[in-house]
Amino acid sequence: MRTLGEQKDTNATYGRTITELAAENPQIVAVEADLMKASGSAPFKEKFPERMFNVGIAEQDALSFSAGLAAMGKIPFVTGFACFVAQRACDQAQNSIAYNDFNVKVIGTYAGLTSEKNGGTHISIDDLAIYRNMPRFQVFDPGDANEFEAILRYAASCEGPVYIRSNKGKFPTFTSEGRTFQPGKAVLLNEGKEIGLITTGITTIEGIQASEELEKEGISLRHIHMPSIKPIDMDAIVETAKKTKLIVTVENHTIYGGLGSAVAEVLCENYPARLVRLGLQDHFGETAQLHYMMHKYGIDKDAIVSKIREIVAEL
Amino acid sequence: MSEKGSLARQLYNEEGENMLEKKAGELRRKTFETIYHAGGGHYGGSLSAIEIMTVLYYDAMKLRPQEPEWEERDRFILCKGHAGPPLYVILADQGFISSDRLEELDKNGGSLPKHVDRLKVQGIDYSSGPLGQGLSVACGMASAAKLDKKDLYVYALMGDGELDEGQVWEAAMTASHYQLDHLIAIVDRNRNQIDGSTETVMALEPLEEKWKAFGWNVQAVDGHDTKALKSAIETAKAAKGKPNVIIANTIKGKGISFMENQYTWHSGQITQEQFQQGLKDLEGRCKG
Repeated sequence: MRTLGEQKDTNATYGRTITELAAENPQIVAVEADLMKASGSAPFKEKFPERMFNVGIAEQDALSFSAGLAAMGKIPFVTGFACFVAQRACDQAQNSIAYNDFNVKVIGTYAGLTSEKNGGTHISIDDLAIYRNMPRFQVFDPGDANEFEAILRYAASCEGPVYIRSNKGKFPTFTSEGRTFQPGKAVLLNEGKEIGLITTGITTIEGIQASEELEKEGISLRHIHMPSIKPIDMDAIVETAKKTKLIVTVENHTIYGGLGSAVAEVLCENYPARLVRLGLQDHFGETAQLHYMMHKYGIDKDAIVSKIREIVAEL
Repeated sequence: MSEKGSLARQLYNEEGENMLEKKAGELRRKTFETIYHAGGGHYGGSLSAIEIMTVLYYDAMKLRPQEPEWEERDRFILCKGHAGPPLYVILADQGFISSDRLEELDKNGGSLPKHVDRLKVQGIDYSSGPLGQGLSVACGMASAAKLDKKDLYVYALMGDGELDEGQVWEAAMTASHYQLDHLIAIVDRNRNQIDGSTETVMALEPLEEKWKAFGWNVQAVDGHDTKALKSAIETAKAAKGKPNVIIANTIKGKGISFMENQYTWHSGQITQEQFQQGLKDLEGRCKG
């Protein structure tokens, strides 16, 4: 069973990592839409001021501008609130970047409920769904800062469009530092037998704790962390379905179009199995703290534990 | 072959003929035929942009048709991606693509899609179509070139109706803020869009003042006068510190009597009789 380690800040990781990457590769540039504060890219600007472009509060321009940089061989890392780079600049992501197959890395900051008190208009409930449906985009929701760094390093090294969630705040780590990220590969965290638990992003931290608690009650979970939403690890999903009685997915996102949907698609087509999807159930977020909303919307440790107890009682 | 394509650098030949104008005449006819053989298409905005594209591809732009990915080449973004046919005709004429492919325009399984596609057609720098995005892309290209200290120009040809899109004005601010003086935008000011004249659908005037207010060098020229276009581009290249826009006043459907200035010919199909009429119109114009 995986345990939780030291807390690490997402933004500090972003600033440090892209600055290091930029030092290694002169083609890496940064594009911001007046949200450097939200991405944490200030160290990049300090070190490479001429390679930082801030287009102001204009996400659509930011994404198309990044496409133009990529057309000239640059590797742009462009950030914006996840809600805006997915919704407002959806057309630009799809046409300027994906349709052209440009090598642009889009970072959606303050992803999902981590936007917290910015409230319902700023909480990206569907960014994973939007980017997952764009041909050529790879889509990742990192579980902790170590993995976020590994994904950024992978994104810098691979060709083609990538969407990465940046989950605002400090979170405990559960992956090791310096690990190489593999797209389309799930991470097995606990090899239990009764219930399959598939989590992504910050909900994995909740899943690890839930797993620990349920284990004490004699309910063993096969816990899979799924940072790669697209491509998705079909084998890990099917294997989990084969080895357990039911699968529960958890995501910091609407249950429509994200992890839960992706798992449902894989199961239906390959190995029909029972599935329960935890996530936002067709509603918006609200102005509140992260832990409050995660509890209220049923994606924190307690919610996962009680849902699984309920399921097990009915089996 | 020179880096300028198949046409000599000088505007006039020994007989005093304006070579660019002559080339534009050929390209207009070929464009008209190509769209007709495709079963119809965007006649209006293709025919209005002929001289602009002719001056760019046969005079202004630094290109190597035999080495299409040459890094130091000038870049061209056809923001109004529906005007693909004249660009395809030019790319075929210059040897970027085979002339046979013109027959594949808009065909099922064909290699020449209506809206230009960089992944399918050599010589296209950006796949466009959704209006309003091209100028932002051009800003990104010009910024990258500036960062790498490359002495190349980025040309962006926009439709005037396209200027309704808000993103154009985001990009207009970006270009000015970053002093992208190697960016030359050209507006095909044919004064018509799908639902009517630009001034009745969504008024653009005073257009020159708008661009000036956004910090651009602005020139307005007759967009069918190759000499005036050539000179405006040279003026734009000489200017420093600001992005450049050339408002090319054109006629939608230029050269075809029944299409000229008719917004209804933004796109459409014509009969064989209309096709013959069009060819006669172009013949007359070429001779004149």
